[in-house]
Amino acid sequence: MHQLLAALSYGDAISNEALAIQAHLRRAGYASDIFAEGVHPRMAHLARPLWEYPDVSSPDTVCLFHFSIGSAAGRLIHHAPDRLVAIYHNITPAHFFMGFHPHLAGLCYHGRRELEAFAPRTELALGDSEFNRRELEEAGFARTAVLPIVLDLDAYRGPVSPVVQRLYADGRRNIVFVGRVIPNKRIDDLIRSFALYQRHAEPHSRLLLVGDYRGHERYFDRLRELVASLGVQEVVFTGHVDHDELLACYSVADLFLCLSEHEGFCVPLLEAMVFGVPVIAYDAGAVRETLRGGGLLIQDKRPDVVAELVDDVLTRPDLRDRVLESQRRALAELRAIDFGVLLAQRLAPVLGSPAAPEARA
Amino acid sequence: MSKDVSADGVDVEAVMAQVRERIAEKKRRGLLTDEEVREIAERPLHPVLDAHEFRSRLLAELMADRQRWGFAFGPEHVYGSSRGGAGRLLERVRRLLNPIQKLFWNPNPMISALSRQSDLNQSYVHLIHNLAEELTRVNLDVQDLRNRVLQLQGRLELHARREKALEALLTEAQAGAKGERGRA
Repeated sequence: MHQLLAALSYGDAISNEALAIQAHLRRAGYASDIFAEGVHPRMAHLARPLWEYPDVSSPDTVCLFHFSIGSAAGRLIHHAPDRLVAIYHNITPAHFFMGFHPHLAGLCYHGRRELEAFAPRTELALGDSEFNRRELEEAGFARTAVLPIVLDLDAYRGPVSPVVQRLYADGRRNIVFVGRVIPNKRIDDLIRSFALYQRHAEPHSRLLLVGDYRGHERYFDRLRELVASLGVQEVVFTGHVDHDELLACYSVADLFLCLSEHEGFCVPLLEAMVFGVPVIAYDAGAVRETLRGGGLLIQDKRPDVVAELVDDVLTRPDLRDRVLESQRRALAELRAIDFGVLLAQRLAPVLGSPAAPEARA
Repeated sequence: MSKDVSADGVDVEAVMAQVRERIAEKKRRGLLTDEEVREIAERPLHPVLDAHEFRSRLLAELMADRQRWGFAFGPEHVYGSSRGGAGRLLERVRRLLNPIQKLFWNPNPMISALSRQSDLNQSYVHLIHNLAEELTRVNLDVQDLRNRVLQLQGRLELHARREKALEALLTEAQAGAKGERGRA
């Protein structure tokens, strides 16, 4: 049982999931390698190049393909004779990128058509949330299930960057969001809410936006214009950060605010919980599922309402404690999941039966 | 009013009700106005046009109204008339009188000049179109480069702050080491 990915990156949730799946499969006695188009230099020893996949490809091989739009891995596996299990991490709807990244908007639009093309070819499709599973169903996949991303909590026990910690632990209230600077994350809404919070509640505050903006410079430029036009101070775009810097950002966070309008899972919500940071999140996509009843899930994200709620959580210790308690319960629920057992259960329909003739290439 | 939900143990409905009550109170006291909230909430995030995506419609517009500039000019236009049958008679008379008229002034250089002007107009239309397109592309490129400079400036400021934090950490570490040596 092998896995195919577009890219095996360092510290990325999908890559970590692929490694976790590999570890469990190997423990269960399967030969299991990861094949990727692009591999981060630090992960080079953990993956094989994509062009080696034909060496293991056969009608008896089960391939776990992490679906990604327009990838060579997708084209390869679509025409390979292997039994196919698709793992779907979602495709952002194209309309979010219109006006900011027309090329990506096109890729996302065609990506959904590409996903539909995989439906008749796939024996089992796994979404990492119920939200994603429903999308798979709508795309025509016959057999679907949920395989949630389970965090490797040990990865968050590493050393934090002392420089970043020093930089932002300066007495200011740090409101943090972690995620790529892309339109569906609605970073502009974060800035609007923060503008009101800083003006009317806590001038000595900072909005720390932790995430890569490379490839989305146009959206990033518009955001910086918005920051300047609103006269907001201390809105920090960190750009891409290393793992120890990410940990430092969580360690100085007073609150995690997410106003994203489309999330297939949203790992940073769980990461914030791991660091004991109260979470306020807008109820969109898979956010509700990921929070598992933890944090504050809101359906009204007008900037005045969000700003007031942020102030409420940061100034009322009783409310903060209750939010943190709810998050601890959610994390405990997450910790109770045995990923190995869950993976075995999810893959049982494929492993327990020979290849379904209609699902073969 | 939207319904807000959340964790067990946190009555978000109640929390949100309190939040809305406090916002209303702030508005009553004039600390916050609907205009300010609207102004922030509705400030647009303008989409961006890439220089390579820009297509000028100037040429299409000019081509659509070709009569304004794309005229032809020849001798028939000097003698011609638009008055139907009477016009044709008039044209014949004018041509007959042409040798006499030439005793007073010669229209041929004027006809030739206007004909060349007609050709030049076509070239100008294409030139103006290309210039407008190129100028717009250059403007967009300049805007893009300005944004990149601002991005780099932002990164530079961030690195300067990191550098200061690093220096402060180093100073503290050195002071700590000296203190330990002193105690030893």
